[in-house]
Amino acid sequence: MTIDMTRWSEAYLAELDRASLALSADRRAELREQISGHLAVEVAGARPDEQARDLLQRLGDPADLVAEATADQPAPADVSASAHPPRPPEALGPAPARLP
Amino acid sequence: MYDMEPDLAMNPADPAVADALDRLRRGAVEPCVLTLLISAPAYAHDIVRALSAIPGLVTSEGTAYPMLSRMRRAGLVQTHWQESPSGPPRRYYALTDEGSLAVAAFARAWPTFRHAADTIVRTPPRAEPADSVVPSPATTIPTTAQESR
Repeated sequence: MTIDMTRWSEAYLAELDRASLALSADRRAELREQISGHLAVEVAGARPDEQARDLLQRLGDPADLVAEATADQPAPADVSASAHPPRPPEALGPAPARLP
Repeated sequence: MYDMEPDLAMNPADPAVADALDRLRRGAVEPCVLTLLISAPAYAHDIVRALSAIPGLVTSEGTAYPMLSRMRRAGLVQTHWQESPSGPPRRYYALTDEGSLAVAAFARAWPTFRHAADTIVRTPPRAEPADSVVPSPATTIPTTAQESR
């Protein structure tokens, strides 16, 4: 495991945390757990010549992961026509703890 | 005109190719995942690597995880944690009875669908003689009803 890979992984998870604010707390926590677990395995097994950016490129854009996580949900209603405005991010609870 | 051999050199960054792949994935990738689980439960990371090893099957490794979660919520798979000889416990995915039924139904339907699509796509459009009796599927002129859909 290289310092570079660990740093890139943490940056990726931070971006995922930002991108997933609109998910429900349980979906957000599950996605976080899955991706942090994946990164831990990948980083631990990375070849010496493997680049962090290649690993993260294979993983994909965090926004795409979030989009996939909501693929079974109906499209959000027109906010301007809604009587109930969307909850602020803080109402969704704190971001899951970071990897040790 | 249409080379139907797998194009391993295709460029998924091409927006048109990416869009076509995205449309094809819907409905086809989940049964592929279920098929991977027929023989035994599998560790999530191994499922993801198996899917990403085949070009074109998933958008990226990461998108396979929320797909697995969606299949669990749909009752097609169930998960359990298992101790690992190296590292933290691992989440394993296994077929439910509903998932087994779904993959069996897909296995029956897929050859028919694949053959039907191939019949259309594999036949390059070509000029038919004026006295041709039966046009090939690719050259069949759509009816007004089909066009209006």
